[in-house]
Amino acid sequence: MRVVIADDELLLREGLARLLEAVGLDVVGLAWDRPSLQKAVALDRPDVAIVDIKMPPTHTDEGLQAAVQIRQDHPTVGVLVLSHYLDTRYAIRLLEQQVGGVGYLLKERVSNVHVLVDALHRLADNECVVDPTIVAQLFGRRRTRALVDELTEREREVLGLMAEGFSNSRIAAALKLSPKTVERHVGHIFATLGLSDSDSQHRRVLAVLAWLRAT
Amino acid sequence: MSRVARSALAAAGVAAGAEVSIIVARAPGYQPFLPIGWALVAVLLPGCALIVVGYAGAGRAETRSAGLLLSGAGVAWFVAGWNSSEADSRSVFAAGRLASLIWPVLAVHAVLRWQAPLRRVERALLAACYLWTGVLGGLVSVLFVDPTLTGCSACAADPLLIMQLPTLAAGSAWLAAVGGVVWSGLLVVVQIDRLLRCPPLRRRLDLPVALAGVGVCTITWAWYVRELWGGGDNQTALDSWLWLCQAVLLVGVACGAAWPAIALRITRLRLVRLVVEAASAPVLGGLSATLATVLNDPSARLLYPVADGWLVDANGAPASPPASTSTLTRLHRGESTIAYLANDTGSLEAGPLLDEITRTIRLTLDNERLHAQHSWQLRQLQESRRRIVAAADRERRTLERDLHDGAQQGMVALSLALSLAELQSSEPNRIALLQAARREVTEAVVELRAIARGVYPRELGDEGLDAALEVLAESSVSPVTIDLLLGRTSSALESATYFAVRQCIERQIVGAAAPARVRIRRSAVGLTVDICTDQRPEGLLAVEDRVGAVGGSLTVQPGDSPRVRVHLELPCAS
Amino acid sequence: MAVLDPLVGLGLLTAALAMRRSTLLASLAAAAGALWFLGDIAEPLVFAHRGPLTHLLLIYPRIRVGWRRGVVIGATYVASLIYPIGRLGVVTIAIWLMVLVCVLRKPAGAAIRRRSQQLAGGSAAALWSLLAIGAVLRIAGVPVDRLLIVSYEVTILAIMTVLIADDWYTRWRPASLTALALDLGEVGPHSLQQAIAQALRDPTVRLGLHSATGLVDETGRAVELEPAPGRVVTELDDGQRPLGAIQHDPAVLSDPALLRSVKSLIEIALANIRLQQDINHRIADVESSRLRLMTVADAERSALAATLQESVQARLERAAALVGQLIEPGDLPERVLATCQVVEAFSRGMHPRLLDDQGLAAAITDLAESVPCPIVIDVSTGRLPAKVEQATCFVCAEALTNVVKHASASKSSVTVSVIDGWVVAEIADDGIGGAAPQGGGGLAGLQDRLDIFGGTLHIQSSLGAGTIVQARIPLTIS
Repeated sequence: MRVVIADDELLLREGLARLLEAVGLDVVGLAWDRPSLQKAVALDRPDVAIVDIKMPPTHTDEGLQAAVQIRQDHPTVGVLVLSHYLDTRYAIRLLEQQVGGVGYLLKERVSNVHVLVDALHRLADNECVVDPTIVAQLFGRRRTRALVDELTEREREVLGLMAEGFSNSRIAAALKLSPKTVERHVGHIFATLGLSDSDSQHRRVLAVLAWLRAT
Repeated sequence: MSRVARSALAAAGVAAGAEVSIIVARAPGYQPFLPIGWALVAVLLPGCALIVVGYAGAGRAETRSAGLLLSGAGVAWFVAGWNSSEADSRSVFAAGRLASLIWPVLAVHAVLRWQAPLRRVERALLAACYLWTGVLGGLVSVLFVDPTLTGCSACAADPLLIMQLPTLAAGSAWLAAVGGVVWSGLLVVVQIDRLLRCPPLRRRLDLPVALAGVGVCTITWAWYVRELWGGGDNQTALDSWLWLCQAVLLVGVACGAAWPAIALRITRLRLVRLVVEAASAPVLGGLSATLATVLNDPSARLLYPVADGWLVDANGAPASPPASTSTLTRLHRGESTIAYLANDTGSLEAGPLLDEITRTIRLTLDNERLHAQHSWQLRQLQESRRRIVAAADRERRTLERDLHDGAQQGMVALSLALSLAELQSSEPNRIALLQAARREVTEAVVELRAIARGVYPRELGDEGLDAALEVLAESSVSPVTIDLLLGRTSSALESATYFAVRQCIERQIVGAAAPARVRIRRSAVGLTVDICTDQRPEGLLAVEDRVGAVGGSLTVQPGDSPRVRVHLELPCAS
Repeated sequence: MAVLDPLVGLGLLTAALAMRRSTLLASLAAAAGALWFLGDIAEPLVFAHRGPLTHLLLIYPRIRVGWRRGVVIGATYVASLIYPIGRLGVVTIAIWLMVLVCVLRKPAGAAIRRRSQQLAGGSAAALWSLLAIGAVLRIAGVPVDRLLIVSYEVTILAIMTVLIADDWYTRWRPASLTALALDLGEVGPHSLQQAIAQALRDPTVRLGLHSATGLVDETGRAVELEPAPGRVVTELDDGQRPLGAIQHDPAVLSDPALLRSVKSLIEIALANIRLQQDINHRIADVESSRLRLMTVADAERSALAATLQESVQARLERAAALVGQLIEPGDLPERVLATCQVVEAFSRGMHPRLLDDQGLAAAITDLAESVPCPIVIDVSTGRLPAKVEQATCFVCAEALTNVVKHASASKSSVTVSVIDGWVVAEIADDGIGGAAPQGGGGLAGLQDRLDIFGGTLHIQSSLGAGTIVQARIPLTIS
């Protein structure tokens, strides 16, 4: 897999590049701000771009805007946005604007290389990725808990994985269940929570996240 | 000493008045066209008025010499009335002749001195006038002329006659007349000049007496002109008219001299009445309004000195620097300054009016000054408190940024390096150690993130209050509803509001029936924030301090129990 | 002129009516009026009215009669009631002189009524002057009886008019208030109680102002006012709420106009005291609030430092320990240690641990390590109270930060010593100068901090000539 890494911090850029190369991915480009990122994506044609959300000049959400831009210009390129901050709003914003192939992870997640690679693969398959910590925080809210208590344990796990952006097949693989079982659970969950099912993955993620946030 | 002098003058006045009334009573044709009763009144009234006013004036320090002069002028007026053929003796007649020439100079001297101390040039001019009229006009004629020889059959013989020199006498009389024309004209000019140079407030008080003085001088000048061109000792109708006019003007001088005292008294009464009315409901700054009313000057305001040479108004707010057209008058008691009076129209010289005002309202002035000074002190303290909070907020933001940019980045890079080393290792022991180390570092990153958020939420500074509260609501375990209808306001207000809300919902019970509710609205002066929780929040004192530092207030209201409502009012500076 | 005679009598009776508030004055005026009419009828009583009239004029409005006035009044009564004596011109002139002497003297009694007293005294003098002139002229043989009588009657009428006017004026205008206010103003910076005592000529007056906790004096201390033998307590109120109370000699405040004046002035004083107390409370509140804010901020900083140390730094140290066990660590230990030191620097920056453990000298030496230019440190104090050390360390830290950031100095110095109960810290450098405490920078914060503790900050910094920051901190910080 071809990867482009964009981060304004040299140490992180280099460290991440070395890490990914050590697991066999191809780091084809390095960038440090939006223009250089866009050039790298345009020239080096990666499968996934890893983008830090904070980039010059304002260091707020340039990464997000760059992700949107990249998905518009190069729809085949998946974008993984890395953030220091546990802020669901950015994740939602990202998902709202895209038809999949975008992911939002917290910065420290990258040190777990397996999780990282898994996320990259999911993105390459045009699925969504949402950091589990964000989902866990949403689950931790009191009102959520009350409603979610109506689901079974297994269903809660399925819901959590759905919120993280996993597709049904991946959920099945992760929980060691059959895809059919997973689908059943999903249907039940949606019925219980009052959500309408939707085919495309990212819409589902969005629906679940939105529901989790609203409660 | 002055007591003796003025009593003596008063006694002399009484005696002279008696004498002149005797003379007038005796002479049926004292003034050709006036009946005897009216003539008596016309003689006595100016003199009495002058003597009474002069007596009263001599009792006060600033008009002592002027008062004595005025009484002297009154006495001289009486004595001038002795210049009649009905005079008892020659000496009386001579005194009358002398006085009739001297009294105008005395009167003008008194008028000038009443208004203000004499300048050197005025003093010299007056001295010259005295000498000229006294010597040339009076003494010479008394010493060298016997009126019996000039056809006055009823006159007594002159005891002071040295020798009969009619030509010398006539010549000196002519010189005196010429000089009279000159000096009376000069005195008119001097008086008008002084009036023009007078500051406006003083002018209001001195105008009557000055105008009367000018009138007296003008008539004297006319009389001398008539002497030069007409001549002779005979009383004509014109003479009588001139004399009557002078009598009326002398009464005017006396009234004009009394006018400042009356005006001051009226002012003082008004002032006290206004102050007493204001006393029952003291309005800060009301004293300035009172003074503006009394001085008829709406631009007058009182400023008080505080430390460092600042001037503040009654509320302790620093006074806007006076425009170039306005003046600052110092109100003082002895050496210490009580206040400053700033006004736009010309300068209020430290005169009797201002001293009067200062004395009358000193009680209220002192108290307003004390209040102004304390208010200023309060403002300084509030400003200092605001600075402290602003500095602390700045420090927190910088700290949060540094923690993220410095420490956190470094730790993430470190975890990447550990991960890399783990990948490159094959020995399980080594892998385990590296994994454990990596987990510690990752946990440290998570903890640092929580700490940094506790210090200062990034989105508060970057995106504003609504973003920060949204995130707060999201990340809080117990449900919170935020109801916000606001744009961005100043960072101090947003900071204070955010931390207040955070503090208040911290203790919200996790299993509460209803969520904590936060409602923020714009108000007329700034923001109102209502935070309803199930339990009384802790640490409200710190919140109150913070809110107070931006000028707001905090109240805890019962709400629908058992809920507690914390209500904040925060003013917006702009 | 026949109409003038009864007119005078009527005038005297009208004056009696107008002054009916005071029975003595009214009865004297009525007696004078009655005797005037009687004098028209009975020849021996023709001078009788002079007695009561002169008595009235000499005690108007409320003068305590001393022996001098008593003598004059007695002499007048004798002269007026005994016709043969009254006829003598000499007696008239003698009484005139005595009246003059009385009148020219400053009367005893309250100063409030000075104007009224002067009017009455002047009238008495004028009346007797006229009589004396008449006596003189009669002795001289001048036949002016008619003129004299007319002017005498006119004078009495004038006097009565003046008295009635004065009475009305005093009653309906706050003239007495003016005089009191002026008296108070003249008196100078005394307390209200002393000023009122002086104005009423009663040095034993005691004043109590109404407050929430009962009667207090002007400084706010509680005061008890009880009626005592020879003293009376008058409650003052403005109709709705109580103002206070005065303990005084009963004779002093029996005049209602005077009472009104005193009440108004007490209202002014009370309002001002309320304002003062209110603002003093606010000042105290803001001061304590400021202190709390600073204390809380400091506590937060310390807590933060502690938290960082306990959680983040501890984990990093554990990671360092783990990495240290590796056989081939490579550069990992240094990296872990470097990260650890970054966090530790943060922690130390917020709360210098060295200060707690080892005192000022060690803490300042530690701070000085970040200063690029050579620095001379002279800390001659031992251990001091914690707050004093923290404040001093803060001052030095802030000043040294300024040196590092702005001064571009080639050398600097820090001197801390204890002089006279004050800790004096002086930080000097020879850099570009231009430091000022205004503008919301760190130096303004220093000023605020020192202000809270009662210390002072002095900055001497001219452009190009280096900077000296001198702070004085009291050893007894509360």
